[in-house]
Amino acid sequence: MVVDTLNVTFLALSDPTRRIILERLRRGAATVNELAEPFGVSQQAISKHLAYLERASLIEKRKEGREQFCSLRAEPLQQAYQWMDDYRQFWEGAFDRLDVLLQRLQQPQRQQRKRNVRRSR
Amino acid sequence: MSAGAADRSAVAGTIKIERVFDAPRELVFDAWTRPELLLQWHAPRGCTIHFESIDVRPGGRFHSCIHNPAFGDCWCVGVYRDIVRPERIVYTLATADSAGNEVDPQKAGHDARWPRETLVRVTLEEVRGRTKLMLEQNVSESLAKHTGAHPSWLEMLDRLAALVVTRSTDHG
Repeated sequence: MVVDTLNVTFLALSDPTRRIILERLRRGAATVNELAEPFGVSQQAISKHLAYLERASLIEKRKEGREQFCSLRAEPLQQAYQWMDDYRQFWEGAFDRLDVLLQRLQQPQRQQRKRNVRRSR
Repeated sequence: MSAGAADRSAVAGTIKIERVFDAPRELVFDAWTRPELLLQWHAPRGCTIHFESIDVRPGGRFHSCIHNPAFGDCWCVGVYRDIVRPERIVYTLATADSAGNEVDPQKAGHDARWPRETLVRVTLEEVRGRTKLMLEQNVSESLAKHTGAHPSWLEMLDRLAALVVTRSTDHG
């Protein structure tokens, strides 16, 4: 369900450490060790953050030999962005109609102007 | 004006839309403030709008219903915060019921995407006989109320949106 997905996504995004992790993963896949390095915290602490991101399907884990690689998944972000975009679509649709209305309201004046031009010839 | 990249931003949870209308500013202002004109455009394609009450002046209230053939009726209430002819209209927008009481959007049967309360600011500027309309709608407040999250990550969402666009292009 959309509501649940959005809540899980937003919960995952609500922590600065997790946002930095996502920013790092924009540049490509990384191992858990690589992700933990800049924070100077235990691998355990990072794993907890990664679990949040994994639950929200924002990252994917893949085992290669003894290393575990994490990579970014865009789909939940797309949904969250869609949430914002719904508002925009409301306005774009309404503005198309406003455009038509404004043209119609100006028609009598424009025709009058054209007639005046013709008469003055 | 088409919706290009420049007029599609959503920084920190504020939607910003710019559009140029080939009409004098006074007329565009009328379309926003005269109820009989608002009725003719202020709803998405395929939907109709009805005003139970509307009082367009600072402090004045409105109670409206947008009828969507697919989703049914969506009632809203709002308060006009600022009206300066012919350049500015500012109002709040909140989900309501048919009696005009504010309601939780999810209790009213909408999903979490539906706004609870947002602030809409419309600015009109004259540009060589045409009118540039700038609309800002703050949705971060509504979002924060739904999810209990801080709006700061909305900034990140916007940056990541660029990535989303790149990815969907890559995939065809």
